[in-house]
Amino acid sequence: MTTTIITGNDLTLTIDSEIYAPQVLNVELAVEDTQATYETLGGPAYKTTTQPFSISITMLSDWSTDGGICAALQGKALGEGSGQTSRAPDTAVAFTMVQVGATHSTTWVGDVFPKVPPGSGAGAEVSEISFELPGERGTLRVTTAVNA
Amino acid sequence: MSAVTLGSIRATFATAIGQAGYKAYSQPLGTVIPPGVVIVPAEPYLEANTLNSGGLIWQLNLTLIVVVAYLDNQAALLNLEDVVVKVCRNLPRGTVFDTVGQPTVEEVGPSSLLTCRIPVSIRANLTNPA
Repeated sequence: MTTTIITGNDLTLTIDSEIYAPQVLNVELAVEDTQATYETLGGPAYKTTTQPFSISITMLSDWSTDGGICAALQGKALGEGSGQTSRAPDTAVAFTMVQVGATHSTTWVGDVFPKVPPGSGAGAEVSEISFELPGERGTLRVTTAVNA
Repeated sequence: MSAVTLGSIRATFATAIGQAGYKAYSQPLGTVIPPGVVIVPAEPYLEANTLNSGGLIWQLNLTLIVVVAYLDNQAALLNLEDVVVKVCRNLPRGTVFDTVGQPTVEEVGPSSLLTCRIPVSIRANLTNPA
């Protein structure tokens, strides 16, 4: 096969219907199977019981931005104000990741639980934050199809 | 982040510097009338470091060259310091800068100028050229 090069420029990230690619430096979706190994008399036997996934995001912090990903996730995970209105940390939000290759595209679709992104700042440095959004089990779908 | 052009970003810096009370040149010029600030592209000029940049979402790196007349050592340095502080206080929100370079005497044409460089960067979503 020929060498395939894919960069972050080929990737878009949408969370709860908002495209956040311009703010995100890197993203990684990982599926980590929970696989038990049983040592039987006939050799090892394997059983995957669950397949949890999560999305790790490193992004340019956008707190204090109207419509930013930080405020959006915080609003769902922690709620707004002292009344914590709209707080719904156990209600997953939809995400879509699309990676466009030369001939085919891969789409990851699923639901992740909102978490409050960290806030940070260091001198004159650009504030970069990293956090993980755990996936709702059983919602992940991955498809690879010919480019439209 | 609304879409803009590279020229309008440089113009935004020029306007902000103008509001600080100094003449700003939004592109390199052959002749500079001090005191003023010349906005020039830095190396690298543009960096695409977010997802799906696609050549339109960039980190834009510029160098602000602060220029004052170099007639008297002490007066020129005081003047340069005033310009630097006022310019830095008026940079557009979202501008990243953390250092101001060492003052240096430069000869531009027949004039001696005291200058220093302020590296700045800002992120922009650029308009697709027609």
